[in-house]
Amino acid sequence: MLSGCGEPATRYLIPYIHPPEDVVPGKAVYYATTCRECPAGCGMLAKNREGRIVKVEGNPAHPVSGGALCMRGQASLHGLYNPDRFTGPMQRNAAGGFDPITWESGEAILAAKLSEAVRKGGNGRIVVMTDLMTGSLHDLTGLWLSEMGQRNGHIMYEPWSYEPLKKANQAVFGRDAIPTYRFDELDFLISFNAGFLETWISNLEFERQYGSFHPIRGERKNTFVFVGPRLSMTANNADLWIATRPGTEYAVGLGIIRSILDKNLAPGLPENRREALASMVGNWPVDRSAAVAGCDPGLIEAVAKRFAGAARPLAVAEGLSQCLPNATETAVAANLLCTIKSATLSAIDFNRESSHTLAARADEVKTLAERMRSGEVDVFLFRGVNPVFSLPKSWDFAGAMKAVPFVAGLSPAVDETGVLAHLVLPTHYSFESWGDYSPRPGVTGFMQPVMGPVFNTKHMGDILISTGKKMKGEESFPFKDFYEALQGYWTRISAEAGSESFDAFWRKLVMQGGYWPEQAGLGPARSLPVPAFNFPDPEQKPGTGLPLVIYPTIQFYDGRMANHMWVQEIPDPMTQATWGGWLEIHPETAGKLGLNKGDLLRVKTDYGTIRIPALPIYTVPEGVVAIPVGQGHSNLGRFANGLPANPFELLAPDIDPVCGAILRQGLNPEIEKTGETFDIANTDGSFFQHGREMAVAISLEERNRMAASGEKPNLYYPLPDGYRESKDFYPRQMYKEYRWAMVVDLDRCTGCGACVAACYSENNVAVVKREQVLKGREMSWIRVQRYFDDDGKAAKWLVMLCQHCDNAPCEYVCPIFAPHHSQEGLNNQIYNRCFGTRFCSQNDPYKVRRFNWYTFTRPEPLKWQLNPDVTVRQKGVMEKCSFCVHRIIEAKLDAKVKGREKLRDGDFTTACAQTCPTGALIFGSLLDPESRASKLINDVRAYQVLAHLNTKPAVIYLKRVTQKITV
Amino acid sequence: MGANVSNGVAEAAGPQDLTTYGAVDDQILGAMWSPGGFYWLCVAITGLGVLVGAFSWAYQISTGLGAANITHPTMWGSYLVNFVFWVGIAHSGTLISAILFLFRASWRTTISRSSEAMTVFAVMIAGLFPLIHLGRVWLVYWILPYPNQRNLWPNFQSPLVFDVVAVSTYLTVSFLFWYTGMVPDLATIRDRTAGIRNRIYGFFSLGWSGSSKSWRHYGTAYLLFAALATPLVISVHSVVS
Repeated sequence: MLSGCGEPATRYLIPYIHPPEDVVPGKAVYYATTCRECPAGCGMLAKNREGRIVKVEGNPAHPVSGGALCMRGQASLHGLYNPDRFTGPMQRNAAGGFDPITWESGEAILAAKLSEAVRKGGNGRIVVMTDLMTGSLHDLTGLWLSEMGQRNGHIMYEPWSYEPLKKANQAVFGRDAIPTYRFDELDFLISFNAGFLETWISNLEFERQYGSFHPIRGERKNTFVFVGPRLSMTANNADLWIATRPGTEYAVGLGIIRSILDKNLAPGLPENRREALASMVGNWPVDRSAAVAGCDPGLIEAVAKRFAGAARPLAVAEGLSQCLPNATETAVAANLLCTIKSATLSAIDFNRESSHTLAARADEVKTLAERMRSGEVDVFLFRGVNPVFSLPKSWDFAGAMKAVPFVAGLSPAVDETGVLAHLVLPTHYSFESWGDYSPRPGVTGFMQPVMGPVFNTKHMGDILISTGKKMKGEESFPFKDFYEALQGYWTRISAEAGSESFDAFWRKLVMQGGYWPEQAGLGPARSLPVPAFNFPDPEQKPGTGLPLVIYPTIQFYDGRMANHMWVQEIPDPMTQATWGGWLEIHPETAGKLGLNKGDLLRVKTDYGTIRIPALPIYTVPEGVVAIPVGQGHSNLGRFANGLPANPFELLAPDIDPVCGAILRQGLNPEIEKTGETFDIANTDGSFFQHGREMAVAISLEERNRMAASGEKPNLYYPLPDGYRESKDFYPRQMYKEYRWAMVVDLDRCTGCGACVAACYSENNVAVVKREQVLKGREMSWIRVQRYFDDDGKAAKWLVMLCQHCDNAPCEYVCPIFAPHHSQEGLNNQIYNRCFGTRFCSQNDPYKVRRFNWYTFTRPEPLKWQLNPDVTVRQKGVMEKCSFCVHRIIEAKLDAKVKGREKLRDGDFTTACAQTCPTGALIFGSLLDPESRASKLINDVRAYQVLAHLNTKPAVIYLKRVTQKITV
Repeated sequence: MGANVSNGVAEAAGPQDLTTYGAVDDQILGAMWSPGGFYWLCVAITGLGVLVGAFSWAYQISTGLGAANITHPTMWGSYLVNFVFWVGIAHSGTLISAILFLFRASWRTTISRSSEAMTVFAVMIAGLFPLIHLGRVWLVYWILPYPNQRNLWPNFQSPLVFDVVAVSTYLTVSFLFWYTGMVPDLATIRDRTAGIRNRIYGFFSLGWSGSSKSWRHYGTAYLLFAALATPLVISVHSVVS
């Protein structure tokens, strides 16, 4: 089926005397697979060149990803090529280290230990802990455990398991589950700290839906309000951010309900429901709610009015107990808001519950930990989970594991949990595996080995089958290997689907990357229970500490991909910091406490202490501190180890009795300086634009006024028409067939950074690591710059890449023509010709050129990821965005083969535009009047960055549209 | 100096007797003593400095320009500063020598030789820095307009090419100015030495005979070089310096 599939590759001096059918040197083959970096389960296409995958892109046919991928998805290749992966099976020796062993002996040891446990008898002696899995592997694990005489031995552990959300859904909708949300048909959205553009449930799908919900359409722009204690990436996309005291978000929700009821803004509400709501918010008049949350009551009134006036408003809440106190209360308040308008319910689909529902609750994991500690568990197997890192340190899960006589790690790479194993049987990474995964019923993503295994690893299913056969005989597991089991599983589904031939069904499944018979549309109407919930007053914790916000970031999710270099190197969307965690604190508060950027702090709660550097920044209100999740690893790999710090270590050991989640009171940690410093490797030179008007916003009214009066944008066109004798010193540039250009719609840009990751992957951009980022030597060709407004209350993003100017300042100063203006308008950088005077970069007003200060290298096997179509640059050479010139050439050749003279708009696009979930980047030729780019540059919002320099950039921005929400 | 130059230092008169050109020459050439131990010590120390510089440059070439600790966006850092500094030193030498000559400031004769020498060496040092600052110095010849199969020429729009032209012209003219002024003196030494030294000085004194025709041509040439060097001081102020 596939080249190099199965056994580890044997390397021949002359490869392919009999070449595999689907490997054509120089020609990429795309295989459909599914991203398993987080439980969202986005469909991917993996680009295989000469037997190695070099790039992943979203699968356009897949209902979740729809052709896009987020930053983590793009970086998933670094999981496959992680240099710290286990190279083969290993056993712990007496000295505490690991000795390599063979697969036969490894499986024999495992089988022996399992037999021992089975002989003892009793349920719960064998526990398998995995990340969220569904379908065939889930079934096989269940079968395997039941053959071992175990029930409920499979714990699917996810740190972000949304127990408060489930509880709130139980209370308001009568379903203990996580539904599927539809954002694209809304006209009003209020998020109670739910970072749905970053990590929340299925961030890429939400981001795509957000792309049709929020950006301006015609004269209208839907409203998005964010309530939360931190200006997160999601919050910064909102029209209004209501800053709250951490843990009081529900007060804002209750205030909104109260205001709607008081002013009778929801006349259609049934009487019993109105009474139920009124009794719950009886104690929460708007003034009091605002006082509790620490916000302006006028804002609550204004939002209430908008919410009630919307046709289909939706309220969502984060529901992560680790992050903020009172997560359940906030989720209930959000759900109550959702019951005010009946149309809202069609955006919350419980008929297609998210697979997150299946994840174990924290109390179940806690019970397991206690059973392990008391010696009730004999064999503990785990794969793809890192509870030692992601559970509160106060739980001491590592101690619980040490109490288990035999621990077998099946994870592909080392982590904090993996180092405690007695036996390491490394499994394939998702790219090397067969498998399936359903993020929700009706959508199943398929996985196939998109390349041969990088290391001496095995499929988890194969390990289960072979150990099972060893213990229980061939007949208990009637399949040769996992592939056969998978086919057996899908034979049933094929039959259910009424497919004529399984082979055809299977082929289609593998080719399109999954099976999604899901019908878009509404589920049957539900009758809602009349809710009752008691909202407490927020606890007033005495003491001097500052309230703490813990938050997941778009780069790290729960920290599992912290050893992927790209997510370490790509700056955080809001703080622009790389390589290490930080403690956010408002500059005013930091000034009062005498904290400077980079001061290493000791942050201490009753349950733990971490050391983390201070970062004074406007993302938190005064008197609040925030720490991101994901860093602070001690044993994840060479790129993640030793970077500060893991906020999970600050959490309490208790379980929330209401929802079964980790109990999170208002943590007010003590913060003190250690006297040491840990420099923060941030890439932003300043918080502000200093009046330079690079990232520009326009109010909705102004935009509509300009559009109505027929005003044209003031652009210096990067075309022969743009030549003005009075201004231009050099003769006009003439173009033959194309003039490549890009339109960046800042109203669509969410700042997520997927484009940056895609560019790193596509163009072999070097990763320079922390010490070099500190010196400002990062190499990214495209970056998402963040500029705070002067009041620090919000920020704007500006996607900055080579502007491919018509009048490029860099071209004129190179003494040897290394930058070169092509006949298609590209500002080509010819690496072979460059000898490194760096004059181009000095003269470049956009500072998008990157110099190779060293020959940056990648450890094996990370260099397998390099794109063979793009030169790897050596020291002393300048480089920059090429508008993916190799893609242009490839598309031209393709068109020629197909007998077409010219490229059509949309035949191809750049790597960054390809992955943008909201379609903010539009690439095309300005010589084609019908191209989308040509049409968009006539929008009234169009402008060019630093246009007064007369560089005539070919990257044309569309202003972000703002709207005010007032009473 | 004239035709009746006395031969030999032995006949040199004492300080009291400076009435003849020969006596003056003897007095001045008395400075051409053989260097002693202290001199060689100084040469050794500066040679060590050169070795440190050469090693540093070799290290920078082998690791990359990151070794120089310059960074984005001040891409040139101290290399540019050094370049400008040494070009500035060179300017002062020419200014002293050529401009004072044009203004007939006769007191310049006491310092003109050393200032011209300073110019030549300072330009040579300055010229090193554009080489040192290059990312891939082994390809530096690409900046020269040499004939090649691909018809690749330097970009004459680039101020860096202006620099190459200006600095090399300035170096050439400064050298010629310095050398022209030195020719009669070289001949004087030639006339007082013998053997291999005589032949070397004879070669560099270009057959100087001290005739009034030579002096007239010499005067014209010197004036021309002085007039040429002065505007070059301005031109070497191209973009980079």
